[in-house]
Amino acid sequence: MTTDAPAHTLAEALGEVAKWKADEETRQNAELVEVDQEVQSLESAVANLNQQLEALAKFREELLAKSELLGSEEVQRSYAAIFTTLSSQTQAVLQRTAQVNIANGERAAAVEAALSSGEVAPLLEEYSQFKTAVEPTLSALPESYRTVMLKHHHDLTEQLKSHVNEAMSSPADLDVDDLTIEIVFAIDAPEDKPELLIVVIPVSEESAAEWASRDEDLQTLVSARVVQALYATIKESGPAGAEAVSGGHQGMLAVEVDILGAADDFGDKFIAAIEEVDKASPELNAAGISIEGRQVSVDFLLPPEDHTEGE
Amino acid sequence: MLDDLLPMNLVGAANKLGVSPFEVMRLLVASDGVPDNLHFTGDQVARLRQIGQIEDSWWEGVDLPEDANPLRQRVRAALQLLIDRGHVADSVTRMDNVWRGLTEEDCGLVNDALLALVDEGHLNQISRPNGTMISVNPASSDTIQQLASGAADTPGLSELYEG
Repeated sequence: MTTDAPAHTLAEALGEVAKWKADEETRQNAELVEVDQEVQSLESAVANLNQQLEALAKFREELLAKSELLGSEEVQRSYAAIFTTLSSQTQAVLQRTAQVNIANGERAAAVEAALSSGEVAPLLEEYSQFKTAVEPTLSALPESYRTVMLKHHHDLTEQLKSHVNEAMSSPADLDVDDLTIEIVFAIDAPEDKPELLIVVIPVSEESAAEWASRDEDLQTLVSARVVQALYATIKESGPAGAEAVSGGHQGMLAVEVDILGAADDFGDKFIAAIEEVDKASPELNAAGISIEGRQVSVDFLLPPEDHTEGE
Repeated sequence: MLDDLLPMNLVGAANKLGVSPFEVMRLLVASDGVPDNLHFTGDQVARLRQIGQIEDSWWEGVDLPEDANPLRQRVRAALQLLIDRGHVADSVTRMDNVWRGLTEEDCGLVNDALLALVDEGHLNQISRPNGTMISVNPASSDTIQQLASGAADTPGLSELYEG
């Protein structure tokens, strides 16, 4: 800091004051310019940050919207995944069914050949003669003769059946890889209590719908065993008298049962019953087939249009 | 030739009983009598028939009433059979006894008609482990008789006939 010499005159003194003022004004103006520039710079930065905030807020909204759709997307993808898998398993069952049919045909032929050449051959020959030569003429015979012949034929048939039953009491074994198929089911419990059971079995819908006009095959037996497990579960967990109603979905067999009043652990019991039936089904074991219960969310078994309707 | 000598399988038993294989499984479970190999003897089938209260077709020799509407004609006959056999109140019968022996189409028609009358309270439907049973609600005996005679229809049946 410099110390000016005292003014000699008033004019000099006031002049110094004026000079001080002018210097101060110059310095303050310069500072104002700097502050204004800083303010402008900060305002620009704030505007930029605001833009970024707006962009982030918009992005966040988009993420939230996507997150909300995630649930329905999962349902649609699960539905597709389940039915694609079950469809594939159905094809595998159809192939296995064809193999079983061939094996059963071969075994029946072998049994017939064995009977034809064994100790029961005379019985089989007599049976054959009756079917081809006697039966067509029965109506022309007097009733007393007819009764005697029919009684004899009945006894003969029972003897032969006994032999055939013995030879065919167990199913034909297949030398094939094990095939595990999944019995997918869901329990609708809108009020936290089981109300409706939906089961999808990977066999063709026709195997059940057209049972009366079809020969029994592996598909018939797979679905029958699942229904056995189902009724065993109903017997244990209720509701008494519940009835399985069958139909089709995507060409596969679907079974629905009203289970209002069933125990809360119906699903677990059904899985256990399927496991038990699987172990005790010689025809499935011989065909190399295993069945396993798999519970999924009820939404996963409903077609996509049903979800749309519900929204 | 061997076909006639083969053991009776599940579908064979179902055909013999006139119910679906699934219904046979239901009866087998209800009676704790599922055969290991799902082969059946005549005696086993007879036992299932008894347990399930399965009757032979009611429709042998039945004359259908005169009716311009073939659907109503069959439903009227079915209701008359139900009345004639005395299935009122506690005297129930298996629901499928009513239509067993009819064509598939007529089975569906009679089934739908019975369900419509259950919905309207004229018939009682009881679910039991050995099958779904049905009987005439005693309070609706007169109504069912009128329906069978063709003197009346219910809204549910009218809707059914209009298809």
